[in-house]
Amino acid sequence: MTNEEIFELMQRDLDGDLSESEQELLHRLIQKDADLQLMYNRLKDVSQQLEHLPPVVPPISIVDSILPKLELAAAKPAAVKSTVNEEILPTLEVKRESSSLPESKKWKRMKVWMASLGSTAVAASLLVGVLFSGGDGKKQEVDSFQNGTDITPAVVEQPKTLGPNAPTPPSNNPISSNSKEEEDKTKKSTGTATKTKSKRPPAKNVQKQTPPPKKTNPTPPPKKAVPPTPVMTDDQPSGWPIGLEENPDREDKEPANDDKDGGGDKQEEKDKGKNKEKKKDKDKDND
Amino acid sequence: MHEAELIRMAQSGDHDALVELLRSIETSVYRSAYYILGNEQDALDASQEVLIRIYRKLDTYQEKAKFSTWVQRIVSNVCMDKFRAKKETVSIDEHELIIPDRNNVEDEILLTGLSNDIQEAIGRLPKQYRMVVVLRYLEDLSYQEIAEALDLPLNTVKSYLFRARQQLQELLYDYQKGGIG
Repeated sequence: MTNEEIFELMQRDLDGDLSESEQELLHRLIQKDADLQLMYNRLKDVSQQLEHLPPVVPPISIVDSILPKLELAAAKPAAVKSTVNEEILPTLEVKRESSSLPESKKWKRMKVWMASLGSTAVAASLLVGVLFSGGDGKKQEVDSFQNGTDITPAVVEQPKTLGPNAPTPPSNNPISSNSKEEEDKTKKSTGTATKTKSKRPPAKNVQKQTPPPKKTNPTPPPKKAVPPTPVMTDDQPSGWPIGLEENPDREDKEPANDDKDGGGDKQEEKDKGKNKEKKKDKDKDND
Repeated sequence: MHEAELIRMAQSGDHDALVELLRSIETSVYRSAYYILGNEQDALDASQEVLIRIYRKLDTYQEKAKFSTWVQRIVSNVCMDKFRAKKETVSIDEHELIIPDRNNVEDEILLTGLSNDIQEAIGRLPKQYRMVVVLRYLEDLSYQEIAEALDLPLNTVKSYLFRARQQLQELLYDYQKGGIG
């Protein structure tokens, strides 16, 4: 038997962990070897000293010292309160975050919904107002539509105002953004209305053959000196040989481009000049 | 009142039973903490924390384990937290190489008696050995109960205990001879 095995037997004997046979074996080995006996006696002495360590007593009652805390926490039953504390303590921050976030989200969603509802209501009221205010213009619109003028913006705007507002994602200031959008839309709608009104007169003028105020203005003489834009000159040759009947149609189409109003007047003058030349040619042929 | 009945009453929400239960374990908690940590103030702080933890965690205790074993597990955990807080990073091997200052050892031997020698020697053990010794001799736990309390394998507990006794024997022998030369 090695010294390590004998050492383990000694240690186990101190803890009362040896069987009777093992105890006999150990005693026989110790009696034969003085060093082993010395070691065994020292270990036994240490073990006895450990068993007789002085009983240490707390200088104060620890329970009494923590009792105020415990009683404060004991507003609820102790065992139940303990579970609550244990659940809350490790996840205190997380739960606060998780509990606070949904409320803010709900508020945000509520604000967004309120804003969207308000914006849709405003848009609807504006639309109705525009439609009613433009009641006289309905007939005009019909007439102008029959004449080929573009009056679709009023119809197109309905889905634009009603559609995108409901699913608009929440922004930092949804109300202000929606209100701005509404203002822009109202401006656009008014602008389109004015545009439709500005477009309508040419249709009326075509029927009544009374030119709009823009066209009635006499073209200033300096404009005659200005050469025509190449675009207009390119378009003119293709349409001109067909006949003089097409000129009114071109006059109707040209006013749609506000920038080309001046060019259109020049073209009329040129047309007149060319017609005169053609008449002269015809007279010559007749002659 | 019997401990098991006290525990059941405390777990069911009886505050008085819970306080009485804490009073019944107060001394043993302090004693273990005192011998593990080595001084009164740390032992008091640790004991307070242990009792508060027991107060809060009593509902998690199950009768599968001995109540004293469960309590000592909390004591060892709190003491380990204290060690970590003090950043006591001396390993077992490093601790064995530490040679105590001769003058301090001689002064202590002159001023203290035999029981203080063993207390001093316990204080010089690595903390793992110290806890095993405290649970074995002060709380009278078996190998298995110590293993459960410290969450260590059984053989490790035996090894720690045997080595601790061997080191204590050497330290006490040196003290009796007049200190380490």
